[in-house]
Amino acid sequence: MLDKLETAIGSSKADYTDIRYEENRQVTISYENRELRRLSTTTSQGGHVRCYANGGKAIHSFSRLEDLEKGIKQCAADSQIAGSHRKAKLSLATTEPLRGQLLLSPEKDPRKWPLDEKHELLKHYRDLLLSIPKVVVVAGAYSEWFSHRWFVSSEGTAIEYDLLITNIGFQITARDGNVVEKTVYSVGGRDDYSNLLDRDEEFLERGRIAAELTTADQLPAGNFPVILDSDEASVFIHEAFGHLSEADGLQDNPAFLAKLQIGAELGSEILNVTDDGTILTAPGGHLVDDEGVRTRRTELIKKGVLAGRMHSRETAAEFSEELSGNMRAVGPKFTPIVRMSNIFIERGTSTFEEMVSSIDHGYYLVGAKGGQTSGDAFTFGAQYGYEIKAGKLGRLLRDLNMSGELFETLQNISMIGDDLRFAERGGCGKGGGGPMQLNAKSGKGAPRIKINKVTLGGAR
Amino acid sequence: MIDEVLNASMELFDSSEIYHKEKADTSVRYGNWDLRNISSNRVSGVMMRVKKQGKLGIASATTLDDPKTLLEAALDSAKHGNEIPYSFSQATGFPQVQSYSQEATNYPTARMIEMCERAKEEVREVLPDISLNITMSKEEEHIRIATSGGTRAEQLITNVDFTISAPIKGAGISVYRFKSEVAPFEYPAEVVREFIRRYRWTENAVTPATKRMPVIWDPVALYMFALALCAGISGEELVKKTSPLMDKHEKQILSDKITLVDDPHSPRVGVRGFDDEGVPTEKRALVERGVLRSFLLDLRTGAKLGARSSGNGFKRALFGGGTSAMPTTWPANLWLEPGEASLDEMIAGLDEGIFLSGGMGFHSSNYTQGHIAVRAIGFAIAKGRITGRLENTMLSGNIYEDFKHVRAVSKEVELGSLGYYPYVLVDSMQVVGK
Repeated sequence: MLDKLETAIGSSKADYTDIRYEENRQVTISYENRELRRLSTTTSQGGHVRCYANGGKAIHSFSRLEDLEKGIKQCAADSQIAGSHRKAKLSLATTEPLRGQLLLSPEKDPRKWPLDEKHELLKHYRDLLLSIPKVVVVAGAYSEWFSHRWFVSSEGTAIEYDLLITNIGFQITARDGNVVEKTVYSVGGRDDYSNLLDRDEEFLERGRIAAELTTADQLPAGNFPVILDSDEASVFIHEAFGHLSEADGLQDNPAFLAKLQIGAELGSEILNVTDDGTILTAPGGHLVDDEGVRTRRTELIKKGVLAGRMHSRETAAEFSEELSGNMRAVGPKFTPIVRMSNIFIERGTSTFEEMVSSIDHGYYLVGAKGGQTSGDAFTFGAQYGYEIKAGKLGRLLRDLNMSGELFETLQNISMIGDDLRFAERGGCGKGGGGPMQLNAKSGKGAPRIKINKVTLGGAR
Repeated sequence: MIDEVLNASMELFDSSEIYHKEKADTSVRYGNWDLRNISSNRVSGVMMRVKKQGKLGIASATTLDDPKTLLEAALDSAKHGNEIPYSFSQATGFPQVQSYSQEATNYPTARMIEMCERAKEEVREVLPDISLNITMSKEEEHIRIATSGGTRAEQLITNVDFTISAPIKGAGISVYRFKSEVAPFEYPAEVVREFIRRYRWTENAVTPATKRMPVIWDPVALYMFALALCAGISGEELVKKTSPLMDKHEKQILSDKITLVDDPHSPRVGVRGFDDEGVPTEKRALVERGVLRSFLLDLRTGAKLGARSSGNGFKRALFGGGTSAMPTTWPANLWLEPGEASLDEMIAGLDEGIFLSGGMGFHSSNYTQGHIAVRAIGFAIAKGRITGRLENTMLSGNIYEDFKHVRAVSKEVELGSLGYYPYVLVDSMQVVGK
């Protein structure tokens, strides 16, 4: 395949050309209660071409390998048209050409695990959850995604590499009269099957909480101090700060770039944030990105000061900053865009008890429930929470969404816990100027953190 | 090719269904006033569902070029599958809809560049200091569905889109306007004008007081209302018995100013003659003058509820969806009936309120129960005038309580997500600000 792609690239009339070709395989087993909704092993393949000519850029996706040469021709011609209109010429930061194989070899390889065992494991966790009183719907899935990729560039890179991730996740719905509440929980997030095993207690706890939520009070609306559990804190750092550290989002937003110059003071001295794709035990681990740049560790905030950001070759050249290996595409229909790999808040020194006792009236928010960000504004939900009164944890609360402004909120982080954890469920949606790409291989982690003030949009 | 694969499948399975989609698109994207890239795609996808001894099998592929592998995967899946209570479509007649324009297919890239350049120059004259983004694209889709029951459904769909946007300085959000049509259109002067008007509204940042106040919903924000309502009337939630509308059929659930029709046939963007299971689509009222009239069903949920599919099985999802996804219940193309008011009259009539043009974090709300808690994007209104963009503001409520009290619905109707909507003025919702 590499030979075929290298030969094809020779026909390109652009200044720079690269081709990525993929063969993907997805195993899905999903249930809604006792009804098997889907058991399938699906495959897909296709490729993507990028051309730069005269400082202009064009991209092209194709499904059939026979269409490759036609695609290169079209893309090269489009890049020349783009170059003739582009005022500020684009260029690519220099990277050492890579050659060879970068393949995964997990100890307990899910690709080799029997399908029936995967099926039984999913049913086992489902039955545990269905045994909980008030739990009415248990919807869950085993998913295993494997992508084998070839990448060649006109600069001499020719590599073959793998991406692999597995997960078991459930949405648990409980009902009491007219009140319906949901929690979610996922395990896995690695290329190794072992992380899916022996997780009964965690699923059971999340199921029992769904049941308890049906009689919990709703959160009031207002501004309060909060403690975020590690799941929520990791969503916060991913959504609110992480996306602003992806350089492609700043290319067309000079006002933000001005605020986010390297050296800008963003938080207190206790805050350190890092993106590290070399951690292969978290969902965002990978060996090389989709423009042939090796993955690495990038310090984003050091002692409260902006220290670096995530780049493509194009943005690294434009910003005159270091390459970071964060350019990734979720499938052949997509062009790579700058993505977080494993972003996390580094471990702090505070214990949970110290955090709770420091709050007179506030809330402890637990369990990520999705989030969204635009520029420095963010919103995200919590699966449940607890009231904190006079330094003590109190009643359980439901239906919580919080919102804030990044720069103000970073300054308001006053305590960081000593209990760093990575979420096992990846998942991040970003368009980056093109169609939405849902990336399962996006990791995030954090210890618990205390924020002095956020806006809670409760239901009452 | 699709018939050959179908014929081969009939020797292996009791019944089968093949969904095949090909898509070609070109787009021109400007970022911060400059041409960022030209993108073109020519991609396809196939999904096959089969029934063997009553059990469901599923397989998908990129093309129909390798039927053997596709059929083997379906056979393997059916070995493990659950028994399914429904049959694949046997429909043979479909409503004719206008979804295709040859001009759109042939629309040249050079013309798209010209359109973007013209908009750029017009905006630069009045707002030279912003960071302007423009995207123009054309897209052609070819959907084919064939079943062993005799269904042969085929539709060509084209779209031409123009989107203009710019981030608001010092804020995290953008102002954007767009136009989307089945066929190419003339320079969209009205879209560019409205973009300029709205960008000028953003100069001041306003955080309103924390209290209940009137809210004008922009058509592009009404997806939150539509998604919450469509979850409530979806076969999925009815089967799970978690819909808040279980026992509300023919009852008043919203204001009598709300009439929401699923209308996939009138000539608009998003028209469909059949759903993604090859079932003919239907035009029908979902909510009529506030009264719940009908539900959204696909083959699976219809069979489970002892009813037929309403032609609402689509391969969509809040996130994801696509060719290899299983169909679930979605509206085909919504139409919220317009009223008498105008947007400007609504704004002029408010002493205090907000004009909501979007919300962040909708998907983390408990929306299947009608609950919405989002960061509010839009504008503050005081004494009948826009006073600035919203900052640090959240909006929360429940559509089944708040949309019972609708003060006015506009005569203007615009394309939003899942369909077309007028501006809707809701009497009072909880705003969390200062």
